[in-house]
Amino acid sequence: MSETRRQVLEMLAAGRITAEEAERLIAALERDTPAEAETRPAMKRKYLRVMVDSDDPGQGPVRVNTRVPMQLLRAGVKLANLIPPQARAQVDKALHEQGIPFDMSAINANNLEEIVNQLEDLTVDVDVDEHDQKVKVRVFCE
Amino acid sequence: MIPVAGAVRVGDCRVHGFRLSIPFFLLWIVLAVPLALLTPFLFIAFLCLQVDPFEAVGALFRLLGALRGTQVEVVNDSVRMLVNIF
Repeated sequence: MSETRRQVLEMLAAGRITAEEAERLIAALERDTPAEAETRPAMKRKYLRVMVDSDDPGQGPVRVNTRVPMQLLRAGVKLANLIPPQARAQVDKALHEQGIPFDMSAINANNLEEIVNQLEDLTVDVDVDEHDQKVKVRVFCE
Repeated sequence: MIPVAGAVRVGDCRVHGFRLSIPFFLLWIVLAVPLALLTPFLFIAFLCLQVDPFEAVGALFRLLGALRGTQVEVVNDSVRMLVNIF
């Protein structure tokens, strides 16, 4: 991943830009550097890794390291596609009530691969340091 | 291929921990008979829910198969726990 791309993702993680702005910036970066994308070896990443390091004065340091196969995401989405439409509507409604405007029917077999491919380039680093509590979260694919 | 085994390792920072192997394949063998008996009922239930039963079973097997390689590790001051699915 290029440094500029990482910076855009960091700005997104920090909430300084919206997802749409980040998408536009990344698209502009890809337009500017087509050679880099073409020469990059096609590396299939197999796992999504989530690492959380927390240092709470009350609990002490805690480290959580999770490795989830990308195949599990694909299988999960395919299983979610089997949810009957009436149940799906209820799930969408519940998500909307929780402030998550998500349409489950938007994820289907056609755009699933695109989503997983985009996830492969994803790196999210979040550092929180407030009230004597330090939390560091890293999400990336390997 | 669905997971055949799992391992849970619990260790203490001061004394040696233990490792517990979970042979999932035995679980699948044990579950095979009740699942075979339940198949007609599941088939009818899927049809009532307007879900293609073959697609549903396929998706479930894919989900189980995709669990292989999952790893969860939790470490704190005194305990380290590691769960692996093979």
